[in-house]
Amino acid sequence: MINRMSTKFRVIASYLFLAIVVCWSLYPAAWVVLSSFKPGKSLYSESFIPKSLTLDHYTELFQSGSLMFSTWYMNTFKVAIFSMLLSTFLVTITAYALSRFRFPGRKASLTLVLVLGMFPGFMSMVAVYILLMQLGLLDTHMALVIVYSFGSIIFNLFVAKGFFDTLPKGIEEAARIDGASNFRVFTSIMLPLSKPMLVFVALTTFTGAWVDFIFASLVLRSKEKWTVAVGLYDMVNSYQNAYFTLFAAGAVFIAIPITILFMYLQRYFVDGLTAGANKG
Amino acid sequence: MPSKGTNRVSRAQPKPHSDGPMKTRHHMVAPVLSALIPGSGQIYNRQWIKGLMMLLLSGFAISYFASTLRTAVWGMITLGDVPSRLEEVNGRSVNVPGDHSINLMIQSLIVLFLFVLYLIVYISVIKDAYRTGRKRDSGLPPATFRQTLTFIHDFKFAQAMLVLPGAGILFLTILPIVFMVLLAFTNYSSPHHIPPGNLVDWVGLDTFAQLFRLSSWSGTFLGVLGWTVLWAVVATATTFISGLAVALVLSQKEIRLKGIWRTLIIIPYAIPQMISLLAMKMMFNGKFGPINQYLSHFGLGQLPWLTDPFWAKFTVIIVNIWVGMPLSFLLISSVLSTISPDLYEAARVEGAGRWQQARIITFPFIMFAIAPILIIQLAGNFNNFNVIYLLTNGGPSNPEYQFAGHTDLLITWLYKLTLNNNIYNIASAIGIILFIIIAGFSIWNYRQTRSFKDEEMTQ
Amino acid sequence: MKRKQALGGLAKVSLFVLTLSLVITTACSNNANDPNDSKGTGNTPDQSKFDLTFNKLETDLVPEPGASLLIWESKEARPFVEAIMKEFTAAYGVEVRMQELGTMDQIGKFELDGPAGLAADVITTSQDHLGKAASAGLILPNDEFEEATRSEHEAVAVTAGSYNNKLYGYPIKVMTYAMFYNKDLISKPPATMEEVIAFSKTFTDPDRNKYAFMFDAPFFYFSYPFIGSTGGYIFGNNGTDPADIGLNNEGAVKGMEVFASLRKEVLPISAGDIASDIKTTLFSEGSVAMNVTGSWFIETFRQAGINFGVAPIPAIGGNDSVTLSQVNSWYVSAYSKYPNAAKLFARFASNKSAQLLNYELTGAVPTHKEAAQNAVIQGDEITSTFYKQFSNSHSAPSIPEISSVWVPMDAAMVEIWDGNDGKEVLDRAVKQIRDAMSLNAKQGDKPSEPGSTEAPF
Repeated sequence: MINRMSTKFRVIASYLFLAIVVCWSLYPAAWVVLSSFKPGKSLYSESFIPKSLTLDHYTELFQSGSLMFSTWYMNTFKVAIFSMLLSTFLVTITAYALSRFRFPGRKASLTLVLVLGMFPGFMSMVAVYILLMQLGLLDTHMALVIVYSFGSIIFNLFVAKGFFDTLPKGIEEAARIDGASNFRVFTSIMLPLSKPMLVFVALTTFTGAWVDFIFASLVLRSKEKWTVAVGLYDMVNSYQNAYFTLFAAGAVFIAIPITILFMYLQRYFVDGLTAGANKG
Repeated sequence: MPSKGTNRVSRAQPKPHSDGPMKTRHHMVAPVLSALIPGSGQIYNRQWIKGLMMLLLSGFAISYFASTLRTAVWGMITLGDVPSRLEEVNGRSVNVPGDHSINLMIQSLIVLFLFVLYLIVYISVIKDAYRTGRKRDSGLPPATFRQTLTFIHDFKFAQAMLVLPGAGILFLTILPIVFMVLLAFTNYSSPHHIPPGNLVDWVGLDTFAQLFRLSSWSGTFLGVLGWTVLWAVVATATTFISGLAVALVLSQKEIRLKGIWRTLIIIPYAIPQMISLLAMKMMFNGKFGPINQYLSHFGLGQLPWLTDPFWAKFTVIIVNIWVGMPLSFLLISSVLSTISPDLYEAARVEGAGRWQQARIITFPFIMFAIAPILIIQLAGNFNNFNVIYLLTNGGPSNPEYQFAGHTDLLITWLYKLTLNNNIYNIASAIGIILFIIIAGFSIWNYRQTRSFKDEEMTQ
Repeated sequence: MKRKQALGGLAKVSLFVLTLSLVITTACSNNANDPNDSKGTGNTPDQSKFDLTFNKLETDLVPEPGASLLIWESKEARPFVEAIMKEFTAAYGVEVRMQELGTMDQIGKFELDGPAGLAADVITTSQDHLGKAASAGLILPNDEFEEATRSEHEAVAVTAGSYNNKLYGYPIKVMTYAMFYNKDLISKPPATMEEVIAFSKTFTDPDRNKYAFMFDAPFFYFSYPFIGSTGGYIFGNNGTDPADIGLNNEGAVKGMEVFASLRKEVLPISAGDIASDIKTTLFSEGSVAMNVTGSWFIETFRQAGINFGVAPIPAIGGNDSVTLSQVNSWYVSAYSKYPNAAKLFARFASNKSAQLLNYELTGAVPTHKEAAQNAVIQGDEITSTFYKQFSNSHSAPSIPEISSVWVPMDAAMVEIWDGNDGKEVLDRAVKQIRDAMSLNAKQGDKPSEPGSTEAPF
């Protein structure tokens, strides 16, 4: 009886805790959404729900002559998709090689990647700029895809390698005894098992392309090539007139695709990881 | 375990040479030939395709380096001789382009990097010619092109996979870092040494000397460093603990609608930080922000969230939990779901309580999987640019500091030094010191983790 | 099985997101015209209040054959730039395109894009970025039209466009701030800070968010009247001598006392909480009676529909208030492929007719003497007040050392506003500025270095 009571209490307390966490998570988000319907340019408002609401900022996003929001949106979409594909490929092969094989220099490479991720990146951006200039890639989306994808190796390698580490050795050994080659083991046994990890990497790179404004503004020099994040940052970074409400409306448009993707993929991500690990 | 194979020579089906054993000197001739004309040794060894490929590559490389290597070495040493300048032509000023020291430095680096890569190829071509020559000397036929490919596929699979990512990282990450490190040894700074109107020169360790000679700089450095370390530790710990707490609560089997809860909790991760942080900045405004308005509604005092040094530090930590918790939560959740229920069942049978189960099963499991990620997060927090830059921009200002405020991290301070003041060389010197600290710490830590030492836990 | 479902779900989602974004972008892209390629759709000067003529300039300079130009200007200037581009193309047959870029960001971007060949032929910036651009050899001097520029424009504007006694700029407009006031809340603008304090006692009520007088106290640029009006200055010798810093002299300290007193009597908010964004909203809502800000906010307040006027900033310590002013000028890129066409454009877009047109389309305050004397502008209460405030302003220094000033001085303003001793804080800030400058200067001390002396032009 006491045990039941305490279980009940624990469950109620847990729900309460989760409710508080959710409120805390959603409040700023809701605030941004509401601001996007607020007239004027400022985020400041006397009350949580603005006195009057307007859709003006949304129409302005797509109709203003000086904003090219729809172009930016399409650009971002393109960059995000291609970076997602390329980075998933690169991260997977790198992590796989470093996790499942033993060769001289392996530990050194791992340490090197760990260390490289710690360098304050923006200081070396000039060098990347010149490198891209030499390759004639400045102001192209391809440059962004390349930079994001190779950058994502450094940031995702350890998550991906950690995943491959947890896959039991038995699987590939069994396959080898059956005469499967390295390539076959990788493509038809390891890759299917690593879908959750692939989703993780794909997701982080995809979102990365939507939110990065520092690197994108270095590479993309003309306005019609911009991604949404660069365009949005430009709205509030103006020294003279900042368009916070317009910015909020644009923000809602960035958050929508990412949130939808997350809503579906996170379940898959967690479930898939379970399935992969329990097979062993 | 074939993957462990790092054999020098393929032992695949040795077939005696039809001519029988003979005293030959292929292992001498082939490498010498390849050293003179890379690829010719391979051709001598009757490895036609490989030889031709090497010949082509070398021809291309030599013609490339012939035109660039000299300039690169000269550029690296001198950083240019003549700055761009204005000259009067028919009474009108005309810009005469000169040497742009910084661009020259980067371009030279690119050439030198390529050259080192080529040298590596060159040496391995000679080695390969030697090995194949030896093989022929012992009466075995040289590997056919197909055999070479099979050998790579079977025994160098990992290395082959790493070629493309490695090359990308070399040029897009390592080269820029080398460039940045080199800047610390130049006088590249505003106002007198900004190209292309001026040249930049090597100054050795002068920059470091200056950094420590000027007490206002070294004082700022130590102060900012102290807060950076504190911030990194606290920020990492708080996001980890909060993510763990939420994940543990949600993982209880009694909780329903897990998917919906999870979605709601990770929403902050889906909103670009640039947006949420600017919104937070507004919300925490001490006078006009909604948070203080609520506090005063309930009769509580108003807090100086962003304007008092202590509270500003508190606020950035709180906001960082908001930003960082969802990812920790997601990672920990997925680790939790990999723990087999049988383990808990077994523990229960042994009479372990909830807390004991957590202590013997849950935590070790999480730590094993998360520890390397924690280290990366810690390092990431050292360099957590967004939260500080967008929320407080380093403020409130600290009168004792040189161009820095109370919440400035080394990275945001660096950003101000480069962006506002263009003191690139000092910024680079600080960056190097910062890097040495973080990297040293992380490497030491990483090597302590079981995931590094003992990667086969799941065996 | 479960995984398969999830994958199916994944495919559906991505399809959904894909179609959604496609629908959004294609549906809306029709409306968005391409601003980067606009070839002038602005108001035609036919309907102008002024008698504007846009003829070829009197010079033997001709545009290079096949020339086309790229211009960088800020968002706010778009209507004017589009109109003037059209006139320039009509007069010279040279195609001109405009890219929007904030005037504060142009030099930073130009440093990279210039040598890379991606930068504009004509850029716009204010003099606090000029020293850096000129000493780095990024821009060409205004040699062709030097005499005309010197004689036609205000001396301050000419000084602002010059570095090391060499004229680089083609002045466009004057930028400074003054005091906007809400005529419904305060009928007559106060002339002194004492009057502001007196009015504040009857008006300010922080609990109801009512404030008599708001200004961006934490920004040195906007707090400068409390230094400059009472005898302080940034650099001596008209802003050209970095060794002579006047930011902690007696006058500056005295002005800072008035500054600190405003915190107690007029604006009881800590410096970190004074956000310009909120200030703008409060003024637009009619909660703030007086608001110190720049002329670039005129349009915002007009749209908000408040009954406002503009007055000079009230006198500080018995002296007329001196603001910090900037002059926006065109500068011709040293990397331009068509320097002659670029020079012609810069001149064409800064002469009298252009400045009147600019006034008409964007409310810009002219630097051209004759344009400023025009009856319409003289009769415009707002513009003439800004002009008046401008004539009582210190020009922001153009030497590159100015970049060491902003950060320490912003910090000092915050400190003093929040209650620290003015003298002590200013002394420390000046020491920081000197430290930062000495750091940069020291490396130029080596006599043997070719680049160590001032650039030889």
